[in-house]
Amino acid sequence: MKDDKTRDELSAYLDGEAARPEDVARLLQKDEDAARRYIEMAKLSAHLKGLRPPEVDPAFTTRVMAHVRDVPGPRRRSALRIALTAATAALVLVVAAGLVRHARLRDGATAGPAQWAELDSESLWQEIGHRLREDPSVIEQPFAYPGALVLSANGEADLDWLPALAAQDWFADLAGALDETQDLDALIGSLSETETTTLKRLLVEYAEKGWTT
Amino acid sequence: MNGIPDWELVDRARSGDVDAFAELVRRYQGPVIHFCQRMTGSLEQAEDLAQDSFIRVYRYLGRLRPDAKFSTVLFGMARNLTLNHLRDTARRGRGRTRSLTRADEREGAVPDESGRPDRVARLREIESAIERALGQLSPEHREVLVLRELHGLDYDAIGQIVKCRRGTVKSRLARAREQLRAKLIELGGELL
Repeated sequence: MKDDKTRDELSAYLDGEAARPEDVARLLQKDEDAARRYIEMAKLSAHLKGLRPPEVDPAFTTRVMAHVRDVPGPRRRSALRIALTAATAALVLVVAAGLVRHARLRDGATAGPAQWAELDSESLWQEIGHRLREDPSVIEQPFAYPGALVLSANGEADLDWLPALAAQDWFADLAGALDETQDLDALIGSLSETETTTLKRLLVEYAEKGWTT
Repeated sequence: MNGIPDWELVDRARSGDVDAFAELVRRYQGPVIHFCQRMTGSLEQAEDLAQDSFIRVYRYLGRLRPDAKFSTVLFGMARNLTLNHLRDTARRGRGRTRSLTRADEREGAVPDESGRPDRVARLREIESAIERALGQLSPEHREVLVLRELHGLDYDAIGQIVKCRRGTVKSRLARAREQLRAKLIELGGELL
């Protein structure tokens, strides 16, 4: 085996995750260097496992629950609510994509990330609403894990960057605000400079990977 | 509520049973704080991040699906928040996580170690060196190592948490081990 491959296989063997454990076992019997590396890995692993966990503050649960009682209770989202949230997230992103595109074009760059950025807000909203109504996956695969907003406005589920976006406090607040109002312009306008910067950064990262609308 | 499966507790919490959610917090507070502590090097920050993780998960309870273990969902949130925190901290110029020893933070309960002082001192020395070396790894390497070695998660679960394929987890873990060993040697020679 090549060196990196040997390293990877020894490490996986130690974890009980090797694809072909019998091959690694044979290697360990005949290759002294591999056996030495494996023993070192095993020792290190034992030391790591021995690291003591911190003492948990006995009041931790009480503190968390005090905050939990302050936040709106969890509700099962209705299909309409999910669609509205997804649509608004899409709209926020597309509008911001327009901003990014505008900035990039102004700087002499080419190729904007979204065709939708060309549309005015009302047409955009109608287009998104139309697509969402036609696309059951928006409802069928809403949120695989917290923060993972699976948005399917273009028929492509699972936008990788959305978990990072949803981990932002302000985004959660934004999504929460949708329960109360659909005044999108006000919501978008309420983003601070930092929030807008973060949104733009995420959009640029995604646009560089490919925007498929 | 001891024997109730996690997802059943989630269902109860969705229906407004806050005690069910409190049970989930009690069940996972230790592992989540430990994960965040190993990632940030600070128990205080770890508790804040763990608290935020639980609150965020509570907020999203209505959207969770039992496709994965609840612990995977929770670690995923803790991981996202921790990486955000590390990025923000680095941007503010305080990016170096520091190693953490008991003496740095809250006084923990001291186990009875009488009768074996040399061995205990040796183990403490190794533990301290490993903590320092762990703190010097990149977050990407540190997280897989912590999830595997300290929390015993398998490659598939780690892949779900750190959003990468099983093969990537495998090679990243192997590289992390290699780098940890190199850091240990840098820090103190043949500590193992």
